[in-house]
Amino acid sequence: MTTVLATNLIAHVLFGVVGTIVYYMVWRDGLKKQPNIRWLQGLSLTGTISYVLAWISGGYYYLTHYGSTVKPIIKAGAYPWAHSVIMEAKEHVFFFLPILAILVMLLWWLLPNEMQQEPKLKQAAAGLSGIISLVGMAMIFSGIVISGAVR
Amino acid sequence: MEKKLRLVSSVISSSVLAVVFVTVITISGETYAPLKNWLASTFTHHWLGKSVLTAGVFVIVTIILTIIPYRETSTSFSLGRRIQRLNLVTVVATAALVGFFIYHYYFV
Repeated sequence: MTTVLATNLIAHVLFGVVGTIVYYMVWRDGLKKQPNIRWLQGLSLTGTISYVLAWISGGYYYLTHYGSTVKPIIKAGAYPWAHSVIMEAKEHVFFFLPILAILVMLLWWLLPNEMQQEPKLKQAAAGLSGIISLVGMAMIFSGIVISGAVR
Repeated sequence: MEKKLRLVSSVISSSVLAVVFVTVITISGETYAPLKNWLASTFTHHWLGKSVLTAGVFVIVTIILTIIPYRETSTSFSLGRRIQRLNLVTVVATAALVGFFIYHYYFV
């Protein structure tokens, strides 16, 4: 693997982990009775940018290296399901994360007063942040399994 | 305020459509080879095709719903209910994709 690809893969992992940690914080802090709006605006913006960058960096690695080099090794190895089930699900479910993150970010930036005053809206947005965070954790775990299957 | 409500309302709708679109085009592509081949030949790779089309659905639907003239009737309560439905759609779509790839690997 070239240095550019290795850097790209590391960036993908870091952006994904940062996005997931940050959206866990948006979930947790968004449920508070008096949420700190500026804090949540900053977190949701950071998480959204992280997921978009994880999409671009992961996509570059997937298109230029994974399919031609890593995938054949996994499919010929002892754990072919790591690609056929885990990777296939990961590369498609991931699409949800940046899109849903943009929505949560817009809620905190455009409707801060409504987010504080309307419990239904706040709970639904927190639920969505929780889903983003849990799917992100599943992505991280999937990445670990896929990496392990190559060895 | 109405403009902000309308934009958020549009993004909720486009998010639902994008989540459903990803699920449908993924499962359809795996079960109907010409669709996956078309994505690969048009966009150089099927995954890139799904990326571009998903982003396109999300952005274009948001723009259309935001600029078409209609009276916005959303309230913060109704937005909350719609986001709850989006949450349910996302959970079902995620389960459908994972379930499909398990089924496809072990039973097809």
